[in-house]
Amino acid sequence: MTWSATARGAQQPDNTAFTQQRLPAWQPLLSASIALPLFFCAGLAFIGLGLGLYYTSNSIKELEYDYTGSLDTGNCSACAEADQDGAPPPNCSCALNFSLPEFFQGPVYFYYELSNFYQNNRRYSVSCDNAQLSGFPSALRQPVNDCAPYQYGAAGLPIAPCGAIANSLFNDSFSLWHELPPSGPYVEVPLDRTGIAWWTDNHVKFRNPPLVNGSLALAFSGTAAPPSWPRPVYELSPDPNNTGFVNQDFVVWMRTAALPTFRKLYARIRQGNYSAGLPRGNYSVHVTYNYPVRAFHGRKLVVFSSISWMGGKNPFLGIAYLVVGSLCILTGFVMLVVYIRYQDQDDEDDSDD
Amino acid sequence: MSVIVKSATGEIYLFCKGADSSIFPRVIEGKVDQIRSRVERNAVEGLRTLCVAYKRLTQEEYGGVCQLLQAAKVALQDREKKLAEAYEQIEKDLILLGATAVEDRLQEKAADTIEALQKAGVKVWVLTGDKMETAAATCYACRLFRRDTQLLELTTKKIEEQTLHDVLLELSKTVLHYSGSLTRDNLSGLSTDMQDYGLIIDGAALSLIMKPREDGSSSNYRELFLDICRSCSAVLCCRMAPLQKAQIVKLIKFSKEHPITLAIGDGANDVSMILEAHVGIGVIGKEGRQAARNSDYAVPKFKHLKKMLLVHGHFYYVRISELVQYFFYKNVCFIFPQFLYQFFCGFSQQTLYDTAYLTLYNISFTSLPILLYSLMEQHVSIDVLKRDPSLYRDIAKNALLRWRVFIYWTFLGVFDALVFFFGAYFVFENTTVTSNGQIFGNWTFGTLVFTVMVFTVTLKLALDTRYWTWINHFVIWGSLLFYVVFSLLWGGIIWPFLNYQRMYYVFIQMLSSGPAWLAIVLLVTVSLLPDVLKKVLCRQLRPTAAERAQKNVEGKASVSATPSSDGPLLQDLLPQPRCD
Repeated sequence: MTWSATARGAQQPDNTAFTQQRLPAWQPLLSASIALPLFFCAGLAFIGLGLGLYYTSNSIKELEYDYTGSLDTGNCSACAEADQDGAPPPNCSCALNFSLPEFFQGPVYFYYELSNFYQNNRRYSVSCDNAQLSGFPSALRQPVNDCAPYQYGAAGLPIAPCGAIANSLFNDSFSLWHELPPSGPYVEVPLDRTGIAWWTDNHVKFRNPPLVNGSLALAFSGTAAPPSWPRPVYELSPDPNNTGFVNQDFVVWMRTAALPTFRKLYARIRQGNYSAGLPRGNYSVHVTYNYPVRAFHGRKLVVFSSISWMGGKNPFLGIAYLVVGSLCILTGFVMLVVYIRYQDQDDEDDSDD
Repeated sequence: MSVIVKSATGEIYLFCKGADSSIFPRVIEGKVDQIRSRVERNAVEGLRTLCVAYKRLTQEEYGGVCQLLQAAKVALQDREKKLAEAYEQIEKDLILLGATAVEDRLQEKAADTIEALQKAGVKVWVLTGDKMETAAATCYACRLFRRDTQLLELTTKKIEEQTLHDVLLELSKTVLHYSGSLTRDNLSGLSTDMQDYGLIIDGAALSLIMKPREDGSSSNYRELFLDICRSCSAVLCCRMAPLQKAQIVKLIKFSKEHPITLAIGDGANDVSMILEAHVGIGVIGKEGRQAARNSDYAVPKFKHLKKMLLVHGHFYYVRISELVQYFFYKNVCFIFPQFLYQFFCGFSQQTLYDTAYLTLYNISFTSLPILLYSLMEQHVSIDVLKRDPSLYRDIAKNALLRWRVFIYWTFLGVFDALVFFFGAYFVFENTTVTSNGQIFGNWTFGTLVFTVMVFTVTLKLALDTRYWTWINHFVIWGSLLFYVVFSLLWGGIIWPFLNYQRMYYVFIQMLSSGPAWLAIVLLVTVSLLPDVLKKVLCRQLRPTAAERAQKNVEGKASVSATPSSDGPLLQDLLPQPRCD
């Protein structure tokens, strides 16, 4: 039956490549001859990467010291005892002594770590007011309902910054002292407290409300500090560039952590005599123990770590790449064996035909 | 069927036409034996026969007839029955005039189509209202019955000789004995000595089988009848009334294996069968459009059934099954990490991903690739499917939507979800992944899991796609690109009026971390590895018929051999272990 191109019936369907499923196409076949070289190449590449990552991770040093003060460790136990009944008395301080057997390559990063603290709890993590923290004066005195019960203070004044995340700000402070050899006085190691939060968090997302008569305290007039804070937000730090909502510690704390055991950056050690690293010797961390964690069976630790291009010490990625690479090569061999055996069998069948 | 006419001279005649079996009993005069033998001979040659008879009515007889018909026509109850009775009374004592014979030619390529369907593993039954001899001749002509097919008869003639029970038992012994010995001997290779059985049954026998009996043995007869039918390669039902055609389709539909039935017909007497079957196809033909109007699909010619089933039907099934399985898979991948996260967030229903990601995952990021796949995929090319009908057996018995296949997809989804979540967990656990020592939060963690997931499910579909048109490339790579661009925009702009800033800069921060990139590559690879392995191994060890055909096409491209087979190969009939 011949169709005339000019005499199209009204019901005749389109005869294009798309409607008649005749589009030109690439039809790959995932056969063994393509997959085998791919497996071997991928396996070798992964093993190479894995070795590199594992070596890098191994060369990173990390030291952890638990200073919660439970009865067995004994450090800071006096402050811990007071914590059991509620918050420890303000300015309870204790010292954590340790010694470095060898040179700790710098720059050294100083973290504090909390465990069993669910910053990722849903009700907790919605309890903050982004408009307030962006510095809009209209929102400053009208915190959102999500912040309840940390929305309005005892005197009916709006809380700034409102919410449970802000209220639970970590307020232990640390200073590091190095014993000059041979057994000389302890010298303070300078801690660089700048640049610990994301740049965009500090400079774009969190903004102080506009100054009133050049004073931040007046900008916050009519608001109250969160109940657990000893000082209001505009007195978080003596440095006027690092106080208010843009205080680095505050910003670091407001970035809620993913897992219940987390660490947050406190300081970098890269100034003065210690810019190359921490020499061997005895050290002492003086802790102002304010933060109560015993109530929820949490623990507090300080961590010293060096950082490479891949971050902190994490052997997982290196080991995972090594394992997957070897699995790839193993399965490549298995498939090769299967392929050869069945290739022979196919050739026999073909020759029989 | 009769008509009453008055001639110019005032004489009233009744002319009646019908099948020979209904005319001959009413005839009292005429050359009955001569015409009967002539009709038989015509039928054996495959012509459709009719007989014509007449009688003369007097004026009083005509008045009586009118009254009878009028009474029947206006009856309020049982009008059909009363009309039939009235016609019974009128159409008797006729004088035989003669017989007609019409050659009803087979449509072009009807034989080819039926052969292809049988090779594809489809059981073909012919239901017709014709005489047995005519129908048998037609079946031989269209190659439904082959030369070596042994015909079994379950006709009124046979039942008159023995009882229905004996006939059924004898037939079942013949047929089932053979197929029983078949499985025991486990023949393989070409089947030159395999016996084909064909069954011929007529309408009266069928009504005997279907008649409900007091002793409850009717279901036994039905079971026996269906067992015989199952072992025959072709069944011919002749002298079927339209309702009986529907009855038989219903019988098969509810038989033990619940097969899917397709009915194709072109006349008004096929309408009930078309409506009863799972798929009804009407041929728009010379006999009008009644069948086409009542059908699910209408085709101009019978031969179009071949491409419709073997190509379009096959494509549609493969596409739909992949669509369904993939949808469940990608949503398992999506939700299971959220479920796992609850164990680490104190069961407080904190979401792992941001709300924009939650909303747009199924709408924007992963919807177009599978949509275009299910419109365009051709796992085997059209020519190969048309040329080799046995490829249709790959999808017999709902092979791609069985429990086993579904459980495989679900396990794959669960495995992938575990890899995403715990991979990211161990990368993030208690350490920093940036080169400046800063720490990531929970939204970065969730975004990492989400990124790995979107890439994995899209690349999984890319691995499953075997027909890459420009549209497939566009939607698959375009979806991934859209995800990246959307994330950059969503996290790159502060939306203060929405009071929503938790994703600000999260995506870009994640991308600035070396371990995050390495983790993405690793986790995507690990997630896709089992599926790739399974595909390659199955292709080597247990290829489906389609894969074997593809291999033959590319391997023997230089030698053009057209495989010829008289009957289905035995190994194609034995159940194949499924792999895909």
